[in-house]
Amino acid sequence: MRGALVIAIAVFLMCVSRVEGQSGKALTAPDLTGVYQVISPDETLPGGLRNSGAPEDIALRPEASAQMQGIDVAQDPEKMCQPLGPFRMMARASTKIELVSPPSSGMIVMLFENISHGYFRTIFLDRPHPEGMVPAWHGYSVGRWEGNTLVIESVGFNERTWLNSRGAQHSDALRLVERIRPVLAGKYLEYRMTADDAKTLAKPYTYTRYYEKLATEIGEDVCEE
Amino acid sequence: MKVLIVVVVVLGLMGVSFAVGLHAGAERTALFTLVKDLKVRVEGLIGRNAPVAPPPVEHHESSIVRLYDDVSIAREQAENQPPSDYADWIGFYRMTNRPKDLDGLRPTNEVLAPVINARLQPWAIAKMEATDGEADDTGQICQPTGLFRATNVGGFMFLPDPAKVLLVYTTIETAGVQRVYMKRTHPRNLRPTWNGDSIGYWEGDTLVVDTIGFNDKSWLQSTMQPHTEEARLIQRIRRVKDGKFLEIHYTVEDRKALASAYTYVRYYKKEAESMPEVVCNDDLQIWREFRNTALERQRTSAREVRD
Repeated sequence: MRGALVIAIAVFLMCVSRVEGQSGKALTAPDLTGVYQVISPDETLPGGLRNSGAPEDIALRPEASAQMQGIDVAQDPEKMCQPLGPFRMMARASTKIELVSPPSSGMIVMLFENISHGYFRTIFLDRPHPEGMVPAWHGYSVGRWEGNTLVIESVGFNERTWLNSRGAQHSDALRLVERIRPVLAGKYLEYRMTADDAKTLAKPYTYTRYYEKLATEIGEDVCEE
Repeated sequence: MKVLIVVVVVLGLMGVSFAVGLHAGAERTALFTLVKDLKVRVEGLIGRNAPVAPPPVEHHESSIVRLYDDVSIAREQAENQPPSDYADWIGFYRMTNRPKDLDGLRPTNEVLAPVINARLQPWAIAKMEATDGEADDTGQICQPTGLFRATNVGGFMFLPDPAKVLLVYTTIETAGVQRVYMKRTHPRNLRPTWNGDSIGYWEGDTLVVDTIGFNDKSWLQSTMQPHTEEARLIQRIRRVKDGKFLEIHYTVEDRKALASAYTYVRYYKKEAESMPEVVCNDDLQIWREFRNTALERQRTSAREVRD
């Protein structure tokens, strides 16, 4: 009798662990591929979800603030058809992105409808940041899954992009952490961006955006005179 | 005397072989071929030029594009499967034309300008000749240049995806992204764009891509050959040399700008798994100076015409 009870408990535990394993697997790597567009700042999603924060709200260190005062905003990369960098681009109104993850590639590629300002990003899921990075406009991004959240860490930026339209500059110490997860049954992405730069930011800054999954294809948005 | 005899014999043999060749049709004699070969060599030695003529149209099966309709695309989905090594296609490929890097592969029509020029319709030639190659070239100021020029320079990131294939071109600001949709037809009432609308299907291990819906702002090459919204690009893409290269056979058609289609083959060597960052607008100073110089030249030209 006792033996039967033990076997029954063991079978029960195996079933439970199997279900947990299955659900855990499902939660570990949701399919984020698709086309998404940031929602309007006036829009509130079910559950009170809405965009919060903006690159213009960052707190700068005194020397960085003084530097910003001397910046000519007419030279804003946004007015020059230049890349804006992930920190500004992902907060920008009406930004439209496409996430692609080819089978067995170990990477997620993020493409932007606006190719001039957004460019494209490769996020490697199977490696750390490379040694000897040459500073780049979009830095170097690696990602990992924490449950159903894709966490992207980016470093290795050059100093060409601005942090906001007021002319806030960043240094080569800029480090971005993005946390992306599907919400509301996968109809939206919750996107949290945190910027940290000990040389220019008084403290790390985080904003949140919600991206709606679109049934349409991504279009062609180019920089033309 | 001996020399005269030799000349007469040779001439006689040439005459006989020519006659035999004429009557034998395709089955020419070895002697005829030898004499013909000698004739070509002698002409080459004395510098006699062949008459100028437009290059022949290369007939290739890619000029026959299988167009899907809504019914056939559903019917053929089961057959339209990628090859088993499809996942390995991913990577960054750079165009190469140096023989030592090509492992015996041979691009065709490497210099495209004369090939296109020989087919341009009169209005298109006039437009090309009236064009200012710098002021009118959007590529010079890092603005879009369209797909045609992107096919003949640089490289691309090839991203295979079950529902679509992406070719992200190196100079993304000018060449953009070509999205090849594998499970639909061309939309009706296409809005013309720089890169048009691409659909694709598999013919064995070859990906066939059909693109229409181009705007008429771009040029076929940096040498400023125009095209119209009727332009069509067909790409036949396959892996060669154990996957070290992608071979792309291009066919360009435009019934309003070209008298006939032209083709060219390019090879792209797989260099890395991801594409390096190349920002065209990296140096604003150069960009501005270039643009200002070109625009000033254009204004000066306009003033001269006006005055």
